[in-house]
Amino acid sequence: MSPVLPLIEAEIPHLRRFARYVVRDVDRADDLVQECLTRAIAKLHTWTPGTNLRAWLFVILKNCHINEVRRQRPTTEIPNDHPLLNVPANQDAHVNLLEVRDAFLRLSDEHREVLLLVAIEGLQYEEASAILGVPLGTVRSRLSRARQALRDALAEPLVAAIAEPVPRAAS
Amino acid sequence: MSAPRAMVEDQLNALIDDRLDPAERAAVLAVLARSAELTARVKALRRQQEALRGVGQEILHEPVPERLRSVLARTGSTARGGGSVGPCATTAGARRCSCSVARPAASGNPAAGRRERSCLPARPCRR
Repeated sequence: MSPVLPLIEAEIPHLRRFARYVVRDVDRADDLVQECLTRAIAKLHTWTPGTNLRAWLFVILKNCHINEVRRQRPTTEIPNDHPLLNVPANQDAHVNLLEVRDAFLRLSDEHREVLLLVAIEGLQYEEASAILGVPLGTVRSRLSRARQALRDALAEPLVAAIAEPVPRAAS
Repeated sequence: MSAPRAMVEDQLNALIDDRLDPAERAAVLAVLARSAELTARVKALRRQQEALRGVGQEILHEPVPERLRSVLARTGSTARGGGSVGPCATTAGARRCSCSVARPAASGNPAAGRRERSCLPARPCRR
C-alpha cells in the first residue's frame, strides 16, 4: 500500500470544491473527481514526494475536465440556491460572504478558476500555471483581471443582473 | 513612478499574495506610502481576499461520497468499516472530524492505525 493514498484521500474535499466550481454541477463534479482519483492512482509513481500533492491532483483533474469538454457533454448549471452551495449562517460575515460567493459564481470560467486556485486554495502562481496550462505571466495578469472583475461584480447591484431584459423574439 | 497601470496592478496582487522578494516588496511599499489611492486599492484587495477565503468552505465540510472513497479503497489503502474519513473541521464548532483520529485498534480492524496522516498540516483537525 502506498503511504500517499491517505494523503490523497484527505485532498478529496478540495478536489470536490475545485471540480464543483469548474463544472458547476454537483454530480458531474464528483464524476470528475472520481476520474481524477482513478488516474492519480494509475500514475502515482509520477508524483514527487515533497511537492504539493494538491497541485499535482489539480493538474490531473483539470486535464480530465479538458478531455470531458472535448467530448462535449451537455451541461446543467448548478442552481445558485443549491443547498450544497449554501453558506452556514454565520454572524456578521454572512451577508458579505453570500455577496462574494454570488459575485464569484458570476465570473467567467477563467477568472473563477484562477481565483479558486490562488486566492482560495492558496496555491503558488507556478502551480496555477501548471494546472491551467498557461504561462506564469498569464496567471499574473489573469489574476489581476479576475480580482478586478470580482470587484466590479460586487459593485454592481445584484438586482441589475437579475432584471436583465428578456431578449424579444425577432418579428 | 508611472508604470503602466496593468503592471502596477500585478504588483499589488503579488504583494497581497506574498509573491514579492524583500527588495520588490520594499519598493512597492515605498510607492504605496506616497499614494493614498494605491493604499486604498491594496486594502480593498485584502478585504476581497479575506472574503474569498470563505467561498466554498461548506463544500469542504460535506461528507465524502462513498463512491469516491471507494476508488482509493479498491487499491487497498483503506479498509472498510474503519469509520468514514470525514472532512477536516477548520472552524470551531464544526462537525466532527474523524480523519486524523487514530482509532483504538479494535479487534479485526488492522487498518485503523493507518488513518493518522489524513489531515494536511495546514488544516489541523480540532478534536
